[in-house]
Amino acid sequence: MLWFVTKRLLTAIPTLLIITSLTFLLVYFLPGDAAQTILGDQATPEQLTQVRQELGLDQPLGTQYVAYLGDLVRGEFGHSLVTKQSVLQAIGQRSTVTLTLAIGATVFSALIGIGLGMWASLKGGTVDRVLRTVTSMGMAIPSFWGGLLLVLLFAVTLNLLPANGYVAFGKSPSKWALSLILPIIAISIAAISTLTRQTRASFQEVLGKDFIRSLRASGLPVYVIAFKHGLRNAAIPVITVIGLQFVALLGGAVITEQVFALPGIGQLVVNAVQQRDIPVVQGVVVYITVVVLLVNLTLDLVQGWLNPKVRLS
Amino acid sequence: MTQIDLETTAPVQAKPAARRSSYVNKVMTSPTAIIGLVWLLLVVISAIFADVLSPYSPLQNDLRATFQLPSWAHPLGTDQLGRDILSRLMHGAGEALLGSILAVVVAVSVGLPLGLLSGYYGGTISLLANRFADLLLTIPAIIVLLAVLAVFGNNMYLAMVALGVLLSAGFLRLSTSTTQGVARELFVDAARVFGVRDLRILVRHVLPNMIGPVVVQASMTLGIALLLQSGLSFLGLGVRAPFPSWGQMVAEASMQVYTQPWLMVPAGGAIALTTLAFNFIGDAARDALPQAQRGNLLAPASTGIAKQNANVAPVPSDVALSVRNLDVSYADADGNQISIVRNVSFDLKRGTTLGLVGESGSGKTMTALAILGLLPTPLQISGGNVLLDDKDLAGAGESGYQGIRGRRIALISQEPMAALDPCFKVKTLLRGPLMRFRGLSRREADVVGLKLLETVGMRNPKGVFESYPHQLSGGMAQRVAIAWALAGQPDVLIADEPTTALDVTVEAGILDLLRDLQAEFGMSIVLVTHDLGVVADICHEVAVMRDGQIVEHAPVDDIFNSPRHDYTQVLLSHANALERDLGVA
Repeated sequence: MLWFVTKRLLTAIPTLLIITSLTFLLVYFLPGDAAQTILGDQATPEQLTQVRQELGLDQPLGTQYVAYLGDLVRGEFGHSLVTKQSVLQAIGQRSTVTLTLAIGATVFSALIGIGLGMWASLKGGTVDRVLRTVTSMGMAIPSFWGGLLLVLLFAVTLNLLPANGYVAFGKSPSKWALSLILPIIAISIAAISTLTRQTRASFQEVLGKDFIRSLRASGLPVYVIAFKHGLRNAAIPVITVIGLQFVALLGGAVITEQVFALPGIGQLVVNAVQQRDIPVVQGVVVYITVVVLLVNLTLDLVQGWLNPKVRLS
Repeated sequence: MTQIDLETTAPVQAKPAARRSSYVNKVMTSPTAIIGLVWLLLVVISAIFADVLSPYSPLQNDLRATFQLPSWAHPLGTDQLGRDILSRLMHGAGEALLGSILAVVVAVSVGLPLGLLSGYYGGTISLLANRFADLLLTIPAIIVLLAVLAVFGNNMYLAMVALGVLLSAGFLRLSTSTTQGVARELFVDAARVFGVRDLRILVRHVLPNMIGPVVVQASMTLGIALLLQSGLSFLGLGVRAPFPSWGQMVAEASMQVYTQPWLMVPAGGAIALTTLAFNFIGDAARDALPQAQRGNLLAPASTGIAKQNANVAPVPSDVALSVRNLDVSYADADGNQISIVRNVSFDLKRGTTLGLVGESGSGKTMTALAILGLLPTPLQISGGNVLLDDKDLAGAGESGYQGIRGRRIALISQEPMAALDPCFKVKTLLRGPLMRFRGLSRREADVVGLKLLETVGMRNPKGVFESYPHQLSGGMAQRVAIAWALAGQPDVLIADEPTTALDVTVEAGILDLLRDLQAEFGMSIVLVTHDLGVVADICHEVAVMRDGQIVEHAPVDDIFNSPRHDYTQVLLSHANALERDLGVA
């Protein structure tokens, strides 16, 4: 088991190296002179020199790269060109909201999606057909638009939930929960639809296997076969899909934060993009990659725990 | 964002080119595909001819007519500057479509060739391609797009090219697995032997088989690309205001969501409907692909025969199981009943073994499975009786099999490995019937379970007890399956080709075991096989099946010494010829 974890951790290193190299090169992809492009035409020579120093552009490429990686390892993500705030600090302040949204939505859509997928494949017939069409629609609704429709219904018309804004958990746990319900539902619609379909497909494939027939022949009741044996086997490929959904939901969170005025990474990075605040963009890309790698590692472990063939080979 | 699709069964059966047009026909006759295509056609036409067709200029303000609801003058109303929404939607359609198509074209042109190479050659290429796909799947698309936009300014099309590279992972995975499936086919080997160049094999034989799955993936990916692109323009990135883009129009509407809710509908609806059109086409394209076998736990085992069995002659006391006039059939696409097993009758005498023999497709396995009510969908028992004591199992329904399956009648199947759930240890499997039918506690069940493994001749019962099925050899797995079947102390054992998947030496051991167990426990066995050697070895009586019917039923000596039916003679002569060829006769 320990070897399994170590192996998975080691495979994450090349990914991390490639991503950090790309983020490092971001500055060099800027058309024309990087400092000039960032600051615009009105920049004074002093400002240009300062930004070049800030980005380390006055040193040879190799030195810069090594220095950049060294900084990252020490957790030094540089400073925002605009606010001068430490990038790591800026991310730290805002990551709670985004991670809560993304992880909350992943758990929520996994529960609902797996449930609906099992229901569709066990019931078949009309339930299956209706769910297929509904999920097709669910996958077609943009999360930001779905969010606005939810606001219109639950906040404006029914007045049940806050339309936007964020309350910290420390301040009021109940208001915190209420402020997250609509955003989480909004970004989960597509993920629920996808997981419903994938679970259904995986479950149906498992139900067609020989061992299901043997289990029935051994006298086990249908519900034990479905929930113990069917679900366990069907979950293995579905876990992979959940990992991909987490990546998508993280992206969804970044967009949907704008709809609900949530102070998350989305706001930070969108502003940074508009102001060409490269250190912030670099920091966010690296941070998000690390989060995704950690989540994938966790899901790998779950998968290994579920699937003895993976664990024992 | 679905990039791995469990719904599309990847390794497709390679099929001749002539069937391709029927695939297109099948897609085109699906109502959802037609709806999707019609909508897309409308969007494409309005995008191309926006200048001619749109009632107003997309930029024409009219501050006296802001926030109008739909009317004849403005079919979709006007926005905060009095601009005609329909005209703006039509002018924004081009960018939405081109952006998504660009992303998918890039995704296919990067992913497909890489997948072909990695699936065909395997090895290092495959390893590298796989790592590349893993890398792409780890990166959240929206973050990369933001980085691209940060560096290159508001260039939406460049962002879509980057998106295409990210989305290529899905095509890479898909084409790898499809190529692997096709490359294993015999005709590809044959082509290689005849010296056909690799490139030609890929283009002529592998690529055509990939078209269906790629169409599915492409239409789903178009939807994903459109959603991401609208998300970016919703954030105000990549837009060239005041020129309209769909996402930007939703963003503008969101400012007025409290006072002008209608404004939300047209732009968001356009994005959702266009994505839905892509999804509908993708679904239809997937439905037209050959489907893998799917199971249904809740399908009834029989149809419409519950009441007809009121008057049946009682079963003689020396008969363990009596099958009478059994019919098995299924309804084809046009609703016609297609018969698989017809009017099959036999009595299984207590403590004896009955061989059901015949070539594949003769209905022998389906007869065996029908006894347990375990026919694969869509097959059903459509007539006759399966009598155990005086209970009729045909038409008894799922609840009628309670206390029968596992307890009175047990099953051993052909592929011992596939018959054991790979996720559970042998001990967990054995516990099921032991605790359920013998009322044992978990600890007691484990003691009995270990004994059972000894009974079936396992050399290392403790080790096997703690093993997962994939750690066992085929012969060991079959012994486990037999122990599992014995756990409920059944009167009748149905063995469906129990030795076909095993080596000859292992086969003899399993047959000996079955004979010993019969002597020890007095079980009656129905043995399904195509192997007359096995029949001669272990059976007391033989029923020869052909085309779903029993053509001859006699004691085993009579069958071998004086076969009466022509077909039995043919079977025997084949078996003899084979033995002569192998020099074992």
